[in-house]
Amino acid sequence: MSRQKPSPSSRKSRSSAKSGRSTKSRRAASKRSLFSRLWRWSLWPLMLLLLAFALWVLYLDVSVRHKFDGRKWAMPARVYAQPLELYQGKQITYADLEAELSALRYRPVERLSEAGQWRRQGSEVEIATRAFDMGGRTEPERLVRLQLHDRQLTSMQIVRGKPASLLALEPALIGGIYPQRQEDRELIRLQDVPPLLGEALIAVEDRAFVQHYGVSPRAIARAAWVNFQSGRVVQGGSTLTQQLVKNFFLDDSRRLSRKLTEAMMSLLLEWHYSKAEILETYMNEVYLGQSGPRQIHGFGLAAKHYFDKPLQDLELPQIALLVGLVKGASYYNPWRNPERALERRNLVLNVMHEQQLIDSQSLRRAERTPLEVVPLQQRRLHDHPAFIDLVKRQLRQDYSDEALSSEGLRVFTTLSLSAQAQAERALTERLAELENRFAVDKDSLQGAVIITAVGSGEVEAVVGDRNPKFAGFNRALDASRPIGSLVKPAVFLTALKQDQPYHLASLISDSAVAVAGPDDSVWRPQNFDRQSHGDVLLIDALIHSYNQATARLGMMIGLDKVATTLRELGVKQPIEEVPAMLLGALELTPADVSGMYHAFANDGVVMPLRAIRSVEDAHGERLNRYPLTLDEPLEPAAVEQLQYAMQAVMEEGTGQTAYRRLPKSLALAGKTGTTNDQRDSWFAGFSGRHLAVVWLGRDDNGATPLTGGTGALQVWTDIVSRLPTESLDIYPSPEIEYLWVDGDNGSLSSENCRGARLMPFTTHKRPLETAACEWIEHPVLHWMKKWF
Amino acid sequence: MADNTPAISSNAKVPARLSRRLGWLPICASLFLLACQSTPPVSRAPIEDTGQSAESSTGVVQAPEPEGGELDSRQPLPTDERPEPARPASHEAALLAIEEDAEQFLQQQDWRKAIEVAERGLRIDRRYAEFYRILGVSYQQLGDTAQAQRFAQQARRFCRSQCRQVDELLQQLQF
Repeated sequence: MSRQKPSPSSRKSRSSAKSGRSTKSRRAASKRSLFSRLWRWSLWPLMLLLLAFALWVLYLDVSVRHKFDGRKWAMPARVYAQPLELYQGKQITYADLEAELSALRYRPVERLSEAGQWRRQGSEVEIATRAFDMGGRTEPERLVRLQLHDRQLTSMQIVRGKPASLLALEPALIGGIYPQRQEDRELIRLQDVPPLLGEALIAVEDRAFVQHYGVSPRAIARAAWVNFQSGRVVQGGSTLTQQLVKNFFLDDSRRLSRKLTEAMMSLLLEWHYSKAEILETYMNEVYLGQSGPRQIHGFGLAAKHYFDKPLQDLELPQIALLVGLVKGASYYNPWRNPERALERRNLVLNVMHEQQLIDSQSLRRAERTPLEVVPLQQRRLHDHPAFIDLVKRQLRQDYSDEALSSEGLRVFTTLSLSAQAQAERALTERLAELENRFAVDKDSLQGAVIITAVGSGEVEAVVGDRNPKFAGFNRALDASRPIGSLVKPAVFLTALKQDQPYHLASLISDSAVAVAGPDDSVWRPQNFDRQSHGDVLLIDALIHSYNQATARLGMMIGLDKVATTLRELGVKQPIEEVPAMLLGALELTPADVSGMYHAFANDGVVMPLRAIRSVEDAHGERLNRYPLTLDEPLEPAAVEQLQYAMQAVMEEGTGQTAYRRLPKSLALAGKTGTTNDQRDSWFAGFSGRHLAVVWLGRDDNGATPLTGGTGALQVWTDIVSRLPTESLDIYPSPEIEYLWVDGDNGSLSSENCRGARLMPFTTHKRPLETAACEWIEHPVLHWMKKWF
Repeated sequence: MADNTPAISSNAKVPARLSRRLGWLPICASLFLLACQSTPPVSRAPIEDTGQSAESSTGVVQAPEPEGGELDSRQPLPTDERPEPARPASHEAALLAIEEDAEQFLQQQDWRKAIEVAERGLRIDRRYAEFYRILGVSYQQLGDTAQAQRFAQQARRFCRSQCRQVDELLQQLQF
C-alpha cells in the first residue's frame, strides 16, 4: 500500500516540470513544486493523523457502547433478614412487630388506604401488606387483622386478599457486601423519579441539556467568561453528559487530552443514546455522599441516606437539597456543614423558581423549612456487621469476592430483627452495668452473643462487639477462649451413654483428685469454693459444677471417650486429650460453642449452623439454597437425661439467678462457664425454641470480677426475658422412665419419702437398691383425711 | 335446677347447694386419690450401704460396680407424671396448611420444593413428624440415602399417627 501510493503524485510532479520552460514559469514551477512537495510530505502525516483519529473515535465508541450497554455498575450483594412470618400461635411481642414494620418502612396511620401501612387499636393490629416475590413464590397484597395477647398472636384474619393460614412480610434489607472501593447505589428507573427532581437537576446543572449534542459551546464560553471575570474557576461548562462521561469512563485528571476525550465521548454518547437514557444513568451514577467507607451514589440511595425515605416520597425542599449536593456532596454535607447546605438548597430553590418550576409561594414555604435530614445517630446503614461477617464467610464457600461485590446478588439470611435487637441491647447495657457494679474500668470488658433457633440451626443474631455497629474484631466468630465448665455437659453425656455404667443418680466422689501428667506434673483441680463435697449424685456434680467430681468421672470414663463425644457434637478443632480438657481447657469461639450446644438443645440431633437460606441473582433467579442437613445423631435417651440435668442447673444450681427475673413456668436448661482467674465468663443455655451463647471477658485476656453466673448469665437472662420463647419440653424416648430416688444416696425411693427426687433413667440403666424412707404424708391426702 | 323455680326461698337454697357439692365430693375424692396414688412407701427396705463410691482421699478412682442382678420388680411411675408435651393447638392451622402444601409438591414430584416447604414447617414445630417424613421421602427420591435415613429416623422418633408409613420408608431405606 505504501509503495503504490507515492507513484501517482510523483508522476504528476514530473509532468508539471516538463510543461514549464521559461524562468518565470520555472520559478513558478519551482514554487509550485515546493508546495506540492510540502503537500506531498504533509499528506502522509495528515492521513496518518486522520487514521489515528478515526481509530481513536472508533475505540471510544466501542468503549462507550460496551460500558453503557453492559452492566453499568458493580452492584454489591444485598443482604436481607429473614421475613417475619405471621400465623396464629406465633410468639411475638407488640414491640417486636412494631420494630419489624418500622424496619420495612410501613407507616402507622389512622386509616389504612394503601399497602405499606398499619394501625393499632388496643390489642388489635391491622396491616396492609405489600406484595413481593421471593424464591419463585409471590405473596400478594393483603389486609390482615391480628390480635396480640401476652406475647402471642392469638388470631389472624385475612380481611382482604388471598386467604392464608400463614403469611410472610417482605424481608428487611440489612446491608450489603461491598468491594474494596465501596461504591453503593440503589438503582432507580426514570419513571420512578419525581419529575421535579429531573427538572431541577437540569435547571441547575445543565439548562441546555435537552438541546445540545453532548457538549455546549455556549455553556463553555459563558463559563470561561465568568471564570475570567472573577479570576478563578467558579463555573464549569460541563454538560450533564460530560459530567457523566467524566465519572463513568474517565479518571480525575484535568489534562487537555482528557478534556478532548471527554468531549468526544459525550458526543458519541449522545449519538447512540437518548436523553432519557443518559439522564437515568446520570441519576444513578452521581456521587452524593459518604457513609463511613461506603460511597453513596445515585439519588435512590441518597434519598434513604439523608431522609430515610424512598425517592418517590421526597418533598420539594428535600429534592432541592439533593440537587444541590451534586455540586459537592462533602462540601455541602448537611450534617457537617448545615449552614452551607441550607444556603445551597435555597439557591437551588431560587433557580427552580426562576425557571418557573415552582411558584413563589412554594419557594417561600420551602425556604423556611429546616434541612430535615435524619439524625446522625439514626442512620441505619451498617447495622449488623458481625452477622454480615458470618454471612460472608459462609458465602465464600460458593461465591468469589468479585461475584459477591459486583453482581447484585440477593442474599436471604436467617437474621431475626427482634433477636438481634435484644442481643445487641442486652450486651451493651449489661456490660456498662457490670462495670459500674464491680467498679472496673469503663469499656474494659468485651463480649459476644450468638442466638440460634433450635431445630433449624438457623443463626438469628450475632453480636461480636459491645458496640454492635463496630465492624472490627468479631469475637463471636474469632475469639477462641477456654470454655471452662461449658465442657462438662459433654463429659456427663459421655457418662450417660449406653456403654457407660452411669445414670443421673450414680454416686461420684467429689474428694480431692490428683492425676499424674506425662512430665511428672500432677494435675490437682479444685472446686470453685475450694471445698470437697463428699459423695455426690452425678446430677448434683453438674448442677453445682463440681470440678473434682467431674474430673474423677472423666478419668474413669476415659479422655478418648470424652473427646469422641466432643467430636460427635460437631467440634472441629483438634482436641488435646489431657486431663485438663475435662474442665474446659479446650478453646472454642462462641460460634463453636453454639454448634455444640445446639445438639443438646435439639434433642441430640447434630447439624451445621446456618446463616443463609438462599441466594438469588439480580433478576430474582435462585442460584443456591442452603437446606437443613443432619449429621449423625447422638443417643436420644442420653441427651434427654442430660437436658433434665441442665434444667436442674437452672432451677437449683449455678444458673438459678436467672429465675429471679424469669417466670418459673418457663423451663430452661443451661450451663455456666468460668475459667482460671475469671478471665472468661460464659453462659450457654436454651429454651424449647432458642439457644443463646454469651461470652464476656477482656481483649487482653486479663482477669475480670465475673463468673459465668454473675456475668454472662445476666446478659443471657436479659435476652431471654425480652425474647418471646417457649419452654423446653423434654421429649421422652420410649426407654425413658422417671423414678423417685433418694436425694442423698441415689437409691430408689418414693414420692412420699423425705428428700426424694424425681429424675429420668433408661429402662436398662437405673438404680437397683432401695433407700430407707422417712415417710411424709402427702399434703393433699392429709387434707382429704381431715374431711372424711 | 332448683334455683330456677322462684318459689324456693333463699333458706332452701343453701341445703340444695350443699347437697350438690356433697354429691360431687365422692367423685372429687376418688379423683384425688387416683391422682395421688403412687408407689407404696418402702419403709421395709433395709438401710444399707450401696457399696458404691467409697473412695480414698488420695484420688484413686474406682469405677462403680456394673449394675447387674435382678431388676427391681416395682413398676415405673405412671406415664402421666411427664405427659407428652402437647403442641400448642393454635399453631395447628399454619402447620396443616404447610403440610398440605408440601404434600402437594410430593404429588407433583417436585422434591426440592417439598423439602423447602417442609423445612418451613419445622421452623414452626421442630417435632412435627410428618415434615421429617416428607424430607425423608424427598431425599430418598433425590438419591441422598444418608439424609433420607436421618430424616426418617427423626420421623420415627416423633411420629404419633403415621408411624406405619415411616416404618415402610425406613425399611425401603435399609437397602
